[in-house]
Order: sequence, then C-alpha cells, then structure tokens
Amino acid sequence: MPYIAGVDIGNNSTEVAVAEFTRSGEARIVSSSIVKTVGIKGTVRNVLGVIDALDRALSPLGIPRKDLGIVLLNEATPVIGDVAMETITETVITESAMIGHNPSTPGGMGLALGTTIMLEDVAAASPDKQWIVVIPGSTEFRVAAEQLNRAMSAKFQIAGAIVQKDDGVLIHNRLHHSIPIVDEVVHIDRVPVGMPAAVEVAAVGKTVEKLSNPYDIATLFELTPEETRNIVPIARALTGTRSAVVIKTPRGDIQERRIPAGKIKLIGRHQKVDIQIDEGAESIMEQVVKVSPLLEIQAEPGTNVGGMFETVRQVMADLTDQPVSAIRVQDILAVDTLVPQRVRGSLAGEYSLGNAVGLAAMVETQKLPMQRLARKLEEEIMVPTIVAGVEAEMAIRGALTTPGTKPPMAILDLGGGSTDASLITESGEIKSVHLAGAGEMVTLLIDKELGLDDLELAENIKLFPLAKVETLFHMRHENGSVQFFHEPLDPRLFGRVVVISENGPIPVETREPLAKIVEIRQKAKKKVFVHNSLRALERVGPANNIRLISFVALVGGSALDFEIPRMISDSLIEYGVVTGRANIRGTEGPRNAVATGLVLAYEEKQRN
Amino acid sequence: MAGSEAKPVVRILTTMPSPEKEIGYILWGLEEEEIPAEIEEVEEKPLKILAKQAADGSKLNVGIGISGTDQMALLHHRDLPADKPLFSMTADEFNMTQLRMLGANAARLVKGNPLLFHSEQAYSSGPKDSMQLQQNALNDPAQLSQNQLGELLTLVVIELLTHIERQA
Repeated sequence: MPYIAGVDIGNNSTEVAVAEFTRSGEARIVSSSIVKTVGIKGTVRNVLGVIDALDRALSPLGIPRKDLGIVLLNEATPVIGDVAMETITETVITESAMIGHNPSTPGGMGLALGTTIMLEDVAAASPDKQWIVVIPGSTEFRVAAEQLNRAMSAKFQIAGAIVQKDDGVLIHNRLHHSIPIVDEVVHIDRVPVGMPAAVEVAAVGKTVEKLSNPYDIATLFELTPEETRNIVPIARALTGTRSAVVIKTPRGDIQERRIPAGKIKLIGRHQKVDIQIDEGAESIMEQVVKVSPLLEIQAEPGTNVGGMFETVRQVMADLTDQPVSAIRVQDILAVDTLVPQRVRGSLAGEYSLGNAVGLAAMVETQKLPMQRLARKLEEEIMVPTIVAGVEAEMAIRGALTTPGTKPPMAILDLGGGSTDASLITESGEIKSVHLAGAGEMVTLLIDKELGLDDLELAENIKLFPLAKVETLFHMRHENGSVQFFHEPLDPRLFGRVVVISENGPIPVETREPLAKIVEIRQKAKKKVFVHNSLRALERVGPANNIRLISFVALVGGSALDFEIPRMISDSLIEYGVVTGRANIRGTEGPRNAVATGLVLAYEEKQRN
Repeated sequence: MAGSEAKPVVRILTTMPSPEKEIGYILWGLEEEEIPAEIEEVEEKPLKILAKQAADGSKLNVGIGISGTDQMALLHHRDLPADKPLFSMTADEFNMTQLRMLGANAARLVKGNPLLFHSEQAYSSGPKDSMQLQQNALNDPAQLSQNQLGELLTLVVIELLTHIERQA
C-alpha cells in the first residue's frame, strides 16, 4: 500500500493530504489540495468535492485514484451556527415633526424661527409674523426665488425655507437677504403648515448646534419640562447633521420606543435563568457564565431569535436524522450593536440609531452519518474508505507539525458558524469546545451597523481592506498607500469608498467615511472573534486558566484574515501565550491540519 | 483665454451660435454644487477635441464642450485621453435634467464627491435607494458574466439535488 490520503470535510472547504509510505513504514506527505465543500458537511453530496480534491492532489504525482491504498475521513463534529438580531429601540414620529438630514448642499446659514406656510400663500400672509416657507418640487427655483424676493421687499418676514428638490444653493444665491434653506426634503407634502418651526443650517464642515440640544429646542419653542423630556429623541437624531428642521405640532410626538424583544431561558446543569434580551449583551453573557455549564438555551417563539433557534435545530435534525425535539441549542453569543433605522414617519428619509442585540446560536450533536458518506465514497472511487479519527484530535495532531510548538498547545479554529478550540496537554490528553459566534456573526454586524441590507457586500467588507477612489486614476488604500492606474477607473467608483475584493473594487454605497467603516469592521471582529477566542481558551485551558497554555496556533481559513490574527495575538500577549498562525508541516500555513493529522495518526497505528 | 487660465474654474467651450438656454442648465448644476465656471465661444471643432481643450485649459482640470447645432455636450478631464470623455450627452439627453446633472458632475469631479448617474438619485438620502439601483443590475441576467452564470447554474443544480435527496 504505497499511497494513502487523509480527507478533511469542513463547512467551507474540503482538504486532502496524500502520503507515500516508505519501506521503513514512514508516511511522507507528498501532495495536498483544497476545494470548496459541496453541500452541507456530512451529507453524501460531499463526495463530489472529495473526488475533486483527491484528483487535484493526485494529478501532480501522476497517480490514478485506484492506486490509493486507503482513504481516511475525519469524524466530523456536527456543529451548526446561525445568527439573528433583535432591535430593542426605535424612533417613531406620530405626526410629522422633524427633518434632520445631510443634503450635500443646503443653502444659506444660521438659525430661523417662524411658522410654516406654502410658497403660494405667502402673498396673502400676515406681515407681523416670521414665516418658514415650504417650496414644493413643482416650483422652479427661479420662480421660488423671485416670489421670496417680492415677499421680502413687501416687508413680509421670511425667516427660512424648506425645499423639496436639490435647489437650496440656487435659490439662496438669488435672494436679496440670506436665509437658511434645507433642501432635498423628499416628502414635502407631509410638512404641516401653520405650525411653529425652526430651520438650522451649519457652516461647511460643522454640524447643527441648537437643534441638537434639547434645552435650545425648549428655549425656541417655550417647552415645558415634560415636553422637553419628549423631544430628547429628536435632538439625538439631529446630532451630527449639517442641516435640520424641527416643527412643533399640537399632537406631534416623537418617541424612542422600546420594542419587546422577548426573552431567552438559560438551562444549566445546576440552575435555570430567564433573561430579557433587551437587557443587553453584557448581562446576557454574564448570566451565561453564571449558569454554565449550559445544557440548553431556549428562545421565545415569535421573536427573530426564536425563529433562528428553530431553523438551526431543524437543519441539524434533517442532517442527522433525529427528531427536532432531540436537538438543543447549547451555546449563544450576544453582542450589543447600534443599527441605523429609518425613522418611522420621517420627512426626508432620516435615520436614527437604534439599539440592537445580535445573537449567535450553536447546536452540536454526537455523530454525523459519516459511515454512510464513507460507503458512498468507497462505491464511487473503488478505494477502501474508513472514518479514521475525531476532527479535534486530528487537527491538533496536524497543528503540532508547526515548527516551534510543543504541548501544552491549543488551536483556535475561527470558522463561519462556530469558534472551535482544542487543547493537548503534556500527557497527550485532548479537550475541545465549540462556541456560538464566528464569521457569519461578523458579517451580520457589519451589514446591520452600516445599514447595507446586502450580506454579500458585508462579507466582502469583512474579508478585504478598503480604499477611497480619489481621482479617476488613483485610489488611497486604508493604510494610506496610494495606487495609480494606467487606465481610468469606472466613474461609478469615483469619490467612493470601495472594497478591494477578488473581483476588483466594489463601491460601498453608504455616506459613512472610510474610517468609520474600518472602525465598524474592526469592532465587529473584536466583539466576536477576540471575545470568543478568550471564552474558548478559558474553557479548554488547564484549570480554566489561559496562562497555563504555552502555545496557541490559529488554523483554518480565518487564520488567513488580514487583521484577525493580530487582534487575537494582541489580546493574548498579556497572558504570556505565544500566538501565531499555524504552519502545518512547515509548508502549508494554517491549512491542511486535519488531513495531515489523519495521515500521521494512521501511520502511528500501522507501526504499532 | 488668458483670464480663464489664471482663475480656478470649470471651462465650458461652445461652438457658435452658443446654446444659451442649455449652457444655463449646466451652470445651474455647477452653481448648486458651488463650483465656478467660465464660458467661451470658439470656432467649430469636433466636440471631443473641444471638450478636451476645455479641460486642458482649466485650472481645475475639468472642462465641458457643448454644441447647440449638434445638440450634444461632453464632460472631459485633463488626464483622460482625448477620445474618451467621461460623459457624453446625446441629442435625446440634451434636456434640462440631464444637462444640470452634467454640470453637477463636473463640480463633483472637482470636489472628489461621488458622481450622479440618475437624476432621481439627487433626492435620495438614505443608503437604501442607491442599493436598489445595484440590485436591479444584479437582477438583469443580461448583465451576468459567464462566471456568474456558471455559479448560478451550479446553485440551481445543487438546490435540485438537495430536494431529491430530502424526498428520498
């Protein structure tokens, strides 16, 4: 039996290591390969990917498949994770009462107070009052400016204007007296007339001062302490914008509403705890630690999280041919986040930041139907196939081929659905753990916090660095370096923040500046990966102590991420742990750990 | 000409007789974006050359060529090759909305702000609206590349296989 192959079927990739047996019974790994996993891990459809991976590993050696003596599969631990988000607060406007947004070019500057009136009614208005004129899109800017001028010279007091189209500067430039003008107000028809209103436009590069301060709003509209309390959400929503309008309507009401997000039930070996999701991630995670070891987590039906729990359990039940009732959610990770939400009842499509909690769940069962998969593979390729070793053990065996390591060593595998850690002690004992929350959670956080509603784009933002296209011929990368191009860039990219994906730059359609997007990306990675790495290492560490682990090696795809390894190493350095990307067999980098481990384990068994 | 080279302006070169009304639309676009412009009447010339000449002579590197006779307008940048203007407005786009957008884009090109591609974009303020545009492009199968089509096909086949597997 000269050649053998170790095969690792993971959630994302299928990896192969092919070894040649020397006369002395030593296995020498001569080739390896990696392909995308076909189908959900553990299903017979995986066979397609395995055959592809085997062929790729064998082709440089010029060996046909049938010459393989044996194929070794890993005993995959079935772990499935999923994510969901519950919004806890939202801003609701009953009766229109505020406009706060960032039209790129408002007109004029300063603060104006008056009563709202339609442009067509100005001529018949009272001359003793200050007016805020509402100009619909059907009126051309020259006509609007002329009518305003006529009204001003006839001693009508025009204090400010609210304009539907992007005409603010054009109107302002044609007025005899400067007034603040807010433009690009899409739903101008919803602006109530005959109501007291304030318009504020800040200088370029500044943000509104008065209308973002509840006491200034109270001063302007002579509000009672009760009313002042109610306008706090307005002031908060207007913070950071360059122009704003606040209108006081008799029944007008803006509320920051708390949305009932339901509760989750933590069932530990020794105690049970109910916790409201809207208490926030910190207290949820505190309880998780307190109740641990966890046996099961239940979520309230009818909530987003409840729905997500059901889906995960259903998928796992289908996968392993078990009744859904036998599948339990065993771990959760909660993360606090702020999501931009369209203000309900808004006039210009304003957004306000609402609080939300992101939750990742994980289910784990004892065994996948790997035997079925092995039989199917054997049938297809006519090579004896066996399930040869447990994933976690094989991974750590493979990882130990990294030069410069020895037990006690831990490996961290930051996947898509779960964060996995294993530890091997000096005596060779192996302990492993799977935790909820990994790559998919990071993608979700990026998507929600940027308000993209596009998971593919969010995924790209997670995976690749950003750049700003500054001219038609160059872009500045997020690290400050400048890249020039010989051909002009797509005008659609001009002036935009782009993700440098594998398929070239993709524009990120948001007004957030590059630095803000980088911050959101890095925070999401820290909240999930760094937090989970510490959580996982604590669980597997001797006496639950990270300090007693000497070496930590990162394996799997996320070890190749351009910033995650550094973040984890930064946080582990204070525990005195050597942290780095694994380098399997000194050649493979963080890939091929399990496949390598399978071959090594088989060799050892043959020898004994 | 000497004057315009000294001042930082977007240059607009027009063939005679100059289309006053249409130039006005372009100027509105520039004005709303707060970038100054200067107009000059010149001899009849191919429009691409005219626009390029306008851009080359502008301190801001941005120029527009316009012809009332041909009902066409081009936006050019000094760094672009003469035969590749950034935007060309054809006769059926020679209207207020499009020309005003051309003016706004000339200004945005100077400022380094994202360009406008649909006039309705001027009214959108949230990220959702522009997303919609992207989405539409994705939904149009004609715009899918060979690779994307292949991927799509694979997905469909896998989906079918899963279905059959479940039923069995």
